[in-house]
Amino acid sequence: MTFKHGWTGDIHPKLTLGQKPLTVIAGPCMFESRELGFEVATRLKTLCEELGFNYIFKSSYDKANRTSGNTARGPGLEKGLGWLADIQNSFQIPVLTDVHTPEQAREAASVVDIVQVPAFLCDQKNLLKACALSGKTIQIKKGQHASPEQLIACADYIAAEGNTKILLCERGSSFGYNNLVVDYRNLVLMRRSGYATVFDGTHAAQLPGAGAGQSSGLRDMVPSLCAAAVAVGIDALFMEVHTNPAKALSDASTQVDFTTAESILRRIKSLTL
Amino acid sequence: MSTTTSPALLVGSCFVDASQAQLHKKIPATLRAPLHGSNSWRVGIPLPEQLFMERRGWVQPVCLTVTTPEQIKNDSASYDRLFIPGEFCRQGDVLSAAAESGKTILLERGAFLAPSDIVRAVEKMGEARQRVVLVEAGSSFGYSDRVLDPRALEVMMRIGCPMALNLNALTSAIGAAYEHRPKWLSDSDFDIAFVRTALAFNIEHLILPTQRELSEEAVDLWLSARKENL
Repeated sequence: MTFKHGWTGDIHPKLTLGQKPLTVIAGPCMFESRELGFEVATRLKTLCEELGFNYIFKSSYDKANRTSGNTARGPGLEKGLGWLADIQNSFQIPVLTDVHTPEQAREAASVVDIVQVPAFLCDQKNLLKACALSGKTIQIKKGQHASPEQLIACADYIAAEGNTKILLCERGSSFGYNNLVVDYRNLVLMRRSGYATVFDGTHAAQLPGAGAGQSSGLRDMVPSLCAAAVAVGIDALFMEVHTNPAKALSDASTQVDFTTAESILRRIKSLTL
Repeated sequence: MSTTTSPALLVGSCFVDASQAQLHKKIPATLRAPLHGSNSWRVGIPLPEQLFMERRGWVQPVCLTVTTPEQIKNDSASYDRLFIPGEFCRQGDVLSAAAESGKTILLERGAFLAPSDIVRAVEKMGEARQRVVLVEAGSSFGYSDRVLDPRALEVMMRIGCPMALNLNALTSAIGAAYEHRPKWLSDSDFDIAFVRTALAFNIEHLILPTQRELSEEAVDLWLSARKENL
């Protein structure tokens, strides 16, 4: 199996996307501490190995677009990339993080296996170009405001810069104020485009800004959203997992705990056989 | 444009063309001219610097569209105003850098953001909120379309900042072609309705369409209503 422009899905010596088993991209929303990252990576790597999924660790060193300016943002670029490198080396797994400027893209690409373009910035050509020129695999989140065609055009823009290692990620579309819906037709269109297709099950459950100055969410919907995406057909499932979501410093309403993560993975296991 | 000067100000477009110079000569205006539009599908066709400098002579002051803190630090001194596109309205570093620049800031509400949540972005500006003009550019309404929600105007006006209405965003096709998009959406037929809305809400500034001229009827409506303020 190859993706558009002949990309084989090679992300890491031990991981090729698109081949069974399904790939799971998961980790804490914010890289709150090195210990949190290691605990989540340990538990999820073990769980994915047991259930037969590929595993990629994700976390953010800087939540640069928080709803409110009075909230934590993370450890910052230097420390965060150091922790991501530690996890990458200790567990021999690929790691993903998001970038917000061309400068960050260049720096993050020196460490991570996948650079992620945030949804709000999915159209920003300077950022896309910097990611493309990094040579790393790129995940583009579909903006809540963007059509699937718009996202595919962004991927084409990156490919035209010579980097064809591209993942398209659906995370829900604006549906009035403070609400998102997942349009599952998008997964069909994205896959039909030939690019690797990812579904973000936890951000899709967000109620942006609905928590009086912070995003709220419908955590109990995450398992069903994920199951439906796997049923429709995706190449990877993305979700945010925390040791204690209620105490998480970001996205506390949508991150899932280990018990829920295990339940989700066991449920979708039956769908991927 | 200080936030206390003429409320009749029109704000020029991203890619100013020669025909708009005539309009700018009629009325106080700000030229909004980045050397390229970072989220435009025409990126790679920057306004040539020579042309930009020529147009700068037509229209003062000049507004720079900013998308990174580095850009603000390096370039803002040469411009009079800063415009933060809606996609960046929650980017803390961009907002902080703009606040520190000392310039007047046009802060656009993202089409994905609830109107009540733009106050969080204003709060991120700290004391600089006194220099903020809030720009309304519509709300996401399905794919490749926006709606102008009068409730959004009401909510944003309660924040207390001067307001601008972005006719460019409200009447332009968004992003790549969407095959299911009705042909009648987002065209100049709605210029008059939007200008009337701006006047009804006493909105101080307009941002002009990029790819076309605002209709003469819409211009005259705006000018005659604002005449006493010029």
